[in-house]
Amino acid sequence: MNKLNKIGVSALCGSLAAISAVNAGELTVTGGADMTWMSQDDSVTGNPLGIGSNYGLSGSGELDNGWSVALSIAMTNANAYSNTSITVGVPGVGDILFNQGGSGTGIQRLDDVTPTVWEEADGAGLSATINKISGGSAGATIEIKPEAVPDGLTARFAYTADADGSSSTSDKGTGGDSGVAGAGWDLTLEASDALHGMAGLTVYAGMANVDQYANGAATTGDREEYVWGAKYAIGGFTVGYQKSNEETGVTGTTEYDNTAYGITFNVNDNLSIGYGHVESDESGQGLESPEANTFSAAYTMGGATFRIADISVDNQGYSAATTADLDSRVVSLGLAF
Amino acid sequence: MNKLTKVGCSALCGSLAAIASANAGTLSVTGGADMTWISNGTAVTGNPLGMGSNYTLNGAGELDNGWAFSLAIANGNLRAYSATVINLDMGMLGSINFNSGNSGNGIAAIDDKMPTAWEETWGAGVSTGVRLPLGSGSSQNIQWKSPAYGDNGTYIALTHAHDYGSADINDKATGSTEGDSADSSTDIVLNINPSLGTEILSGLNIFGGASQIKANAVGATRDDIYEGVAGVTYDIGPLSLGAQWSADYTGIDAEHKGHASNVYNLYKAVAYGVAFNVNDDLSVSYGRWTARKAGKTSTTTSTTNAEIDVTSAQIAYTMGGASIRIADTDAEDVSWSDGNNQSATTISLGLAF
Repeated sequence: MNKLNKIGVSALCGSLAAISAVNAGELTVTGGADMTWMSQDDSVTGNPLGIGSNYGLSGSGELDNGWSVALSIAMTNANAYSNTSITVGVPGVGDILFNQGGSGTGIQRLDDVTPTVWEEADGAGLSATINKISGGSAGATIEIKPEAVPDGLTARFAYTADADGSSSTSDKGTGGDSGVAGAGWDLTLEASDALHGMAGLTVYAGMANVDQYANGAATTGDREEYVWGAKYAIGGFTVGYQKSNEETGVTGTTEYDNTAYGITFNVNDNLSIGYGHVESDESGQGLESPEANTFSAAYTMGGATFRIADISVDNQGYSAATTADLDSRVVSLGLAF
Repeated sequence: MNKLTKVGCSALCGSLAAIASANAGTLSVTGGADMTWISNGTAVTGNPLGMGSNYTLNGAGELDNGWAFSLAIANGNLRAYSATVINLDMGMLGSINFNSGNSGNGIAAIDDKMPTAWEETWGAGVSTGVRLPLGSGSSQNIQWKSPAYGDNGTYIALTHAHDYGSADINDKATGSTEGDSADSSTDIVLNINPSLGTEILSGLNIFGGASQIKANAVGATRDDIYEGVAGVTYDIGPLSLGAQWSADYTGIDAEHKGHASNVYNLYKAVAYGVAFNVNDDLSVSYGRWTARKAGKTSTTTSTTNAEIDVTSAQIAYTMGGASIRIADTDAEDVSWSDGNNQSATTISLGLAF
């Protein structure tokens, strides 16, 4: 952690500040690559070889008053910009996260946290195209994680002023003044054994509300989302189950009910296997219920991880078409730095 | 080099892995800037000042069995994504290279190995339009490269692209379709340093490669494409000499696929170069690249627009972390356009980090 005497503004503003400035230290680069070979039954796929290339720039420092600051600038594959987040740690108060639209804030961080050895049941290359809870995380978000809570309880409250279309607004700019979604808030709670006394058990829940303007012709009210779930680790096993619900606040599809569960087993220090399931029930239009079932295995070998996933998806995208039933196998070699 | 017992995938996957994980360390950044001033003879050029801004993220690690791996995520000028390359060195089993298509594998890696003080003859300020052998290198490919034989760098490399023309596909995804004109491609490259145990031949390097790009039965508008490269370089003291030949058959054959009767279907090129290190800091070079259309699908005998001739004289001076380079390049019949002659004098200041 770097101790600062003054915080410079040159890097932020591009101007010549009257106050001399020093840097908080160097940005470090972390990231990795993930090579995959993907085969899909009954599909023409062309090139089955894919290479991921995510990386992020990270920095941290400390102010004179003891507050901590941390910066993260994230890029996704092919150098595409993802998001920027800044975390300010205030002793006695908690952490304040300013996020430009990363998907890991608010209730979205709990959209599917059932146990897995690699990816979510529908996240290893073949998606079931399930509508999942997102809260206000699509917009720029301020999230507070207070310290003044009982031991073993983690609470987070997130707020966004505009839950759509304003996630990548630069400094000195505004955005997202169109669209149906308005302000939104998310609340999540996670409890470990330090609170409830049962070792290995984690329970969690969350809720979110996003204002929706009536200028959308299909709008009938605000969007509301809920989630609850539990994970339990004993020996080499970890099991988990969760339910989530979204009341869309629009005509047509009025509600989604999602269920996810998974189990993993650590065979040894290097090898783990897992099974995951996710499904979604739609209300309002009588659409089919998509689901995904995935068996996966992961093997770590020094600096690399080999993964294999066998994925089966039915009714992809809430469709009844025969082409919406898909199967895929993905082999992956991942390197992380 | 970082030794790991476990590697996490949290940054890649966003999932909660059942097995605890650790990173191989941090990525390092290398790169630089290259400032150039180009004078294009009598041509109107507008702003002659250019600036390059490439950088690459690099990482390396080692598996439990001692195999080494490395990662490079390369970006070109203006932060434009270039390619991702992962290399797994398996010791005596050779190496496996996963490449998203940066033209660094297969015969693209030997498209021009002529000695030069700075850039290739066709790459120092004039856009010449010469055809270069690409093979599998510009597509997402996997390459196996044998371990170097002895101390002289002799090796063989096999490169395969499952879908020629498809590049930069993300993980857990597939790319392109089978409906285009090309299917898979395969390259073989052989590099030999036949010193024969003699000192005078220790600087001799012979290289060659071939590529086959299969035509797709779905898009059957042509035959298979064949490309080939062969050449030799020789270093003796401060002097480096080289010559190479390349050719590609485009697969367009009027007799078989009904193309227009006056389409060229064969291109050939010959190149040579000489470079001389005056001292540790100063080097000079001269190179020539001549490309010609060498085949037709009919008896049309026109010889216009059939040859591109490029010459470039270069000088480079290194000064600590900076290099100053000057290239004087002349090109005739640029882009196969008869009488389209261009010249350029390029001054460069390069900084590498």
